[in-house]
Amino acid sequence: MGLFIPKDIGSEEYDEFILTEFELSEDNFFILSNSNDYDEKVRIKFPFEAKNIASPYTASVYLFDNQYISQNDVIELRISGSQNGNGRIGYIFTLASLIDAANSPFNEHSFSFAYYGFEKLVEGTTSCTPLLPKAKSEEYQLTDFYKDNLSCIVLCNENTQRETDFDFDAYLFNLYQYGFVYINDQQKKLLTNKLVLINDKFDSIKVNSTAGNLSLKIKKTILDLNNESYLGVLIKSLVEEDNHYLTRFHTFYQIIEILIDDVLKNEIKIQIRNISIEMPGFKLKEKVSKIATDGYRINQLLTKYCSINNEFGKSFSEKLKTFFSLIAISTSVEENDENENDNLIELASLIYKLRNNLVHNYRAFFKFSSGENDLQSLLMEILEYFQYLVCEIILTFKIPVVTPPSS
Amino acid sequence: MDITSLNVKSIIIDYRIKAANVMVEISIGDYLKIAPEIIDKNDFQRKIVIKSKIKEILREDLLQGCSIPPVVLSIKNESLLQGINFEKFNLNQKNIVEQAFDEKSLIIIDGLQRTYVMISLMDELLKANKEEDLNAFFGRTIRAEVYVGLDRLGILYRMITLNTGQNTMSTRHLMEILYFDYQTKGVENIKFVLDRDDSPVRLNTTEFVFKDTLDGFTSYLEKSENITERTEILDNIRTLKNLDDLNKDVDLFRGFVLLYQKLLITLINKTDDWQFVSDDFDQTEFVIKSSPFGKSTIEVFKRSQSLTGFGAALGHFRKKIEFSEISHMIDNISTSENDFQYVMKQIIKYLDIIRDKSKKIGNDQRYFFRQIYQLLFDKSNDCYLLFDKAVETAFDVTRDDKLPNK
Repeated sequence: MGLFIPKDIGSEEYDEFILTEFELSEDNFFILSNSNDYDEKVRIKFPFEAKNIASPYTASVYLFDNQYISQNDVIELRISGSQNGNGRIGYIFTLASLIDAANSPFNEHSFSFAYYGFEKLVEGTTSCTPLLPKAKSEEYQLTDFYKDNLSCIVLCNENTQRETDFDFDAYLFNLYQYGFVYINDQQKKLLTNKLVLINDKFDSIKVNSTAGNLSLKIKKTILDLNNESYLGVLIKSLVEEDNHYLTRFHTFYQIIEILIDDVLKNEIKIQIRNISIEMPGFKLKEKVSKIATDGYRINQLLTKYCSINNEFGKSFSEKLKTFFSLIAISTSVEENDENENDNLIELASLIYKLRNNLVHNYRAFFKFSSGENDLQSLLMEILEYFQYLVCEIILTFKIPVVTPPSS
Repeated sequence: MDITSLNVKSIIIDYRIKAANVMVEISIGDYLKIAPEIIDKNDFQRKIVIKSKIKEILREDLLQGCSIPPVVLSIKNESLLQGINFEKFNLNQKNIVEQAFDEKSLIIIDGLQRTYVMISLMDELLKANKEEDLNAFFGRTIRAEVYVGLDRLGILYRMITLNTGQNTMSTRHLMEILYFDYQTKGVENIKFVLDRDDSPVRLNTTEFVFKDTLDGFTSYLEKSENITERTEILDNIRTLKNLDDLNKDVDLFRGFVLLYQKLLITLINKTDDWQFVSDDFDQTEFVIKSSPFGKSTIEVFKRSQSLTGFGAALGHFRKKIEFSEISHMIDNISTSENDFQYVMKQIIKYLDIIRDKSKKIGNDQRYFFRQIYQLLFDKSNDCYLLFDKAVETAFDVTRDDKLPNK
C-alpha cells in the first residue's frame, strides 16, 4: 500500500508511490518511488530534525476526529489492567502538530512516535485511506494526503504484543467517550457528538494529568468483538456517518437488540436453575412471559447487566421526558419501591418508549408543527446521549455467573 | 560564431507578454553545445526526473530521427535586450538572438525534459563510441522558439501557461523567483538572510529572513495570512496578473518591506524595547503555560506570524489605503488606557492561550496578528490606532472564530 499520485496534472489516473528511503539533508524528506517506474520519485518533507529517534520499532497508526484536542496536546495512551509497567502503548496527537516544527509539542519520549507515525502515514498504511491529490508535483505535504484537523494514535507494536490478547478495536468504544471518532474515509461527512459529557471527559484528561504530561488510561469492552462483528462495524464505520436520526437510532439500537437476547437466555437459565417441584407451573410461565418482554429485558440490561452511572441516567431521562412532553406522550412510570437504580429503571422504560414511538407512532412527531426545529434538535441531543449510553453498555456488559440453588 | 547551424526563420510578436517570438532552427549538435549550461541557468524551473519509460521511448525515437516540438527559450542577458522595442523587432536584429546563443545566455522555458533526454543520449553514444550514430544525431535539426524581451514576470507567465513540467508552483515559489535578486542585494539598509524555519530570530531591524518576508508579501497579495503550499495553475496566473497590475508604477515588494521595518522600529520605540521578565508572568494575571512567543518586542514582531498578519491586513485595505497613509498611521499608534509595555505582556498571554487551545497554532496566531493590524488601521472602528484596544479586540475575535467554545 502506498500513496496515489495523478499520472499527469488533472488526470484521474493514478500511480502508486511507495516509500523507499529517508533523505537526511538540510531538510529531511521521505522519498517515495513510483511502483511502476522506480526512477520517478516524489518527496514529502519531514519538518523536524531527525535526531533522538528511538531504535527502530514497528508502529500501527489509527486516525480519529476529535473536536476537543488541540495542536499542543500530546497524550500518552495507557491501557487499564496492564501487567506491563505503566501500560503505555502509544501516543495521541494531531496531524497539525506533525507539520509545524516551530510549535512542536513533542518531548524526547513522544518524538519517536511522531517520527514513526509520520512514516506510516507516508507509507499509506494507517486505518484510513489517504486522499488523492489533484496536483502533480515532485514535492508533497502530508496535508495533501491527510486532513490536518485529524488526530492520530500511534501504537508501539512491541508494547501491544506484550499485552495478552490485545485487540485495539476493543478500546474504541472508550475512546469514543473521550471524543475520538474512528476515521477510515476522510471524504465522508462526519457527524460529531457534541454531548457536554464527552467534552468533560476529554477535559478530565488534562485535569487528571500533570502539566505537560497528558496521559489517558483506556479500558476495553468486556464483550468479545470477535463473537459479534457488528460491534466493530458500528464503532469503525457506522458511528461517524452523518445520516437521518431514524437511521442513527436504529443503528445503535441494534446493540440493545443483540444484548437483550443474551439477557433472555441468561434469565431463562436462572429460572430453570431455580425451578423447584413446589413451584406451580403457571408461576413459572408468568415469570418466563415477563422475561420475554423487551421492556423487562431492557430494564434488566441497564440495571443488572451493566454499570451505568445513575446521574447520567437521570439527565438522559430528563431529556427524554422533555421530548415526550413536547409531543404530548405520557411518561408516567409504574411506582416502585425506592430503589438505588430508580433513574436507570426510568431510563430503561423511556428508551423502550422512544423505540416504540419511533417504530409504531412516528407520525405523532409531526402533529405539532410549531417548534419543529426545537423538536429536531432535542431529538438529535437525545441521540447523542443514546450513543454514549450504548458505548457504556458495550463497555460494562457482563453476564453474571449463575450459581446453582443451594439444596 | 561557434553555433554555425542557427537559422532564424520567422518572428511573431506576442502582445500579451510584450515580447517577440523568434522561430529558429538549429542542429541538435549545436543545441547540445549550449544545453548543459543553460539548464543550470534556469533558476525558475525545478529539475524534474522524467519518467524512465517515457524517456526510453523518446530516446528510441530520437535515435530514429523523429521530429520533436520546439523547445522554448528566452534571452537571459538583460543588457542584450536594452533599448529593444519588441513591437518593432525584425529580422535585421537577428544578431541579438545569435549573440545570445553564442554567449549561452538563454534559459529554457519549455522543453527541459526533452533537453535532458538529448543530453543523456549524447552521453550514451559518446561512451559507447558510436561515432556514426552520434554524428547522425548531432546533424539532425530541431526547432526552437526564442522569446526576446520577456521580463521576469512574463517568463513566469509563459512558463505557467505553457504548463512547464506539468507542475504548478506555490505562490511562495513564484515570489522566490520574482524577487530572488533582493535576496542578494537587499532593500536600502535591509539585508535578507536564509535562516531555517526554526532558527532564532535575529534581534535587529536590518536583517530579515527572506522566506518570512516573502510570506508576508504573499499574504498581502492573496489577502490571506495563511500560506497555501498547493495551488492550481489558474491561481498562479491570477497572482501574476494581480502583481503585474499592482506593480505598474511602484516596486511593491520594496515598499512592503520598508513599511514593515518602520512598524517594527516604531513598536520597539513605543514599547521602550520591552523585554520579557519571567517574574512579570509568574502568579499574575499574565501567567503563561509555555515558553513565551517572544522575549522582546523585536522577537515578537519579527516572527513570520506577525509579518503574514501584517501582509493580510494590508491586503484587506488594498486599493483603499495607500502604503504612504499606513506609514503615517504607524507614526500615530498610541494606547487608550494601558501602557505599551502592559500591552506587550497581554500579547504574550494571548499568544500563549492560542498555543494551548488552538487546533492549528501557527494559523491562529497569524489570524490574531492580522486582526490587530486590521483593527489598528481601520478608521471606522473604535480601536483605530489604539494598540491596547486593538490587541484586546483582536484576541476576542480570534477566540470566538478559532478557539473551542469552552
